[in-house]
Amino acid sequence: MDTETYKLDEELDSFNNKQVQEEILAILDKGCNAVLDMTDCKYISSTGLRVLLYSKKMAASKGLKFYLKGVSDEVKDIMDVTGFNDFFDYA
Amino acid sequence: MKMPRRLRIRQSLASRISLWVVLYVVVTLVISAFVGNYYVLKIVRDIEENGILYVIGVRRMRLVLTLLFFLTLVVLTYALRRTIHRLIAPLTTFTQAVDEVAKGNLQAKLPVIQSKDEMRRLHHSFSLMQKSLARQMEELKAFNEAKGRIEGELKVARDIQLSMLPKPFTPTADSNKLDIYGQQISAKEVGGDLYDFIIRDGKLFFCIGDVSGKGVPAALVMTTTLCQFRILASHEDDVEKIITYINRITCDGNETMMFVTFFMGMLDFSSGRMQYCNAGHNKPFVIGDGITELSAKPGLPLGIEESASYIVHEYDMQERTMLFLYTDGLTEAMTPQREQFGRQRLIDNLQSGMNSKDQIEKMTQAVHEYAGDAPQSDDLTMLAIRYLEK
Repeated sequence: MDTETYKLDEELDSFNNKQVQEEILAILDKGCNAVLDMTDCKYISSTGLRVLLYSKKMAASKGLKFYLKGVSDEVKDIMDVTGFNDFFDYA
Repeated sequence: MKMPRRLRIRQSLASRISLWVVLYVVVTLVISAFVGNYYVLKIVRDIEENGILYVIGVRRMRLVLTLLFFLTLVVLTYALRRTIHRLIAPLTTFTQAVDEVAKGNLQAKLPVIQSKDEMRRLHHSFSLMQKSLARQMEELKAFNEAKGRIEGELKVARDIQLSMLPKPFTPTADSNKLDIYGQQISAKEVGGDLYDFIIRDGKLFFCIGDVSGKGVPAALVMTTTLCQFRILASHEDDVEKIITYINRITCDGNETMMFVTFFMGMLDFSSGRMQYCNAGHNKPFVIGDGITELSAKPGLPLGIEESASYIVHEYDMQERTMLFLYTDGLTEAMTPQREQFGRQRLIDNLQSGMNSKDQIEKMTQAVHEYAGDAPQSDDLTMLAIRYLEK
């Protein structure tokens, strides 16, 4: 199965969450595994976390995988506090 | 937009004006020519037949021609002015109509145009503009009415939500070992943060939570979570059972992946023994002689995985210590330059020995001073539980 990557160039919050969600769903619709490159992302809000959760759920429902890549220390802290650190798959 | 056939300009205003100019000039010149010719011939005849002196004759000719020239000029100027004014008179009426529209009278009358020139086109465009403006104003009015209705409903919703949160704590004979104060300040009309406390059988059940997002969607999930806690805590003593059950309910039918970070605990106030579980929420602080963050390994927030499990932690609350719970609206409060309040500033504003209400008010004040003019970015909620004595 092919894997396609979408790169985030900024924070993931309520301003860009719809757009990012659509990009990831588009990759999954093509039948590819999706990777979200978060190297340039320094902050994620709860709305942003929902994007990640929904992407993982959608990928699972299609028998595909959703990975995170390049998670920064700041985002990792947020995910540690909210109990998500072991929840996602990493590329 | 293609002009309707009958509105196409047959004759432009400029060509009509120049037509009149040419007409006047030609007519006036022809008449002047005839009149001039007549007088010149008369003078020549006077010179040749009647013996008028040549010099005098020439003088008379000059006089006649000069008078004729000025007469022609005056007549031409007068006639042209009148004609041009008549042709562009509708413009004045248009200007008046525009002033009327600007004052808000969209029904201002336009001049009637018979000619098929730019005036007619101006009339057509102006009339279209009037109709379009009238329609837009109607739409705006309807939109504002709907907005006003929604704002009214949200205000009512806010009141309902506030009344769902626990009433201010008043110590009774049972619970005079406690001092509790809680506060929720939502970023929008309704909020996604919740807190609750229930006292029964010598035990205090408490919780604080933060639904992902804010506004109406978060508020809806907030109310169900709050109700679930209230129902369960009123008869179930096992902290793990309570949180696991609430999680399962929250996962049920959760298509949009709304999740709730949640912290709940049970304090036995005769012994000070506290049991608690953390579902991805900010760890509370214990303020005694010093300030420490409570150790609470986070499980998944509520609503994500039905089979999620939660570790039950235990802690012995000492006398005269305070448990300070908060949501991330506090640490993530931002200045206009988007700098966050942060964990350290929170710790710096915690103070031993304060009562719960004063501590929360002090923290609220600190956040407001820090954030300045920046709009509130997230719901701000705090719950302070002071354990006075065993």
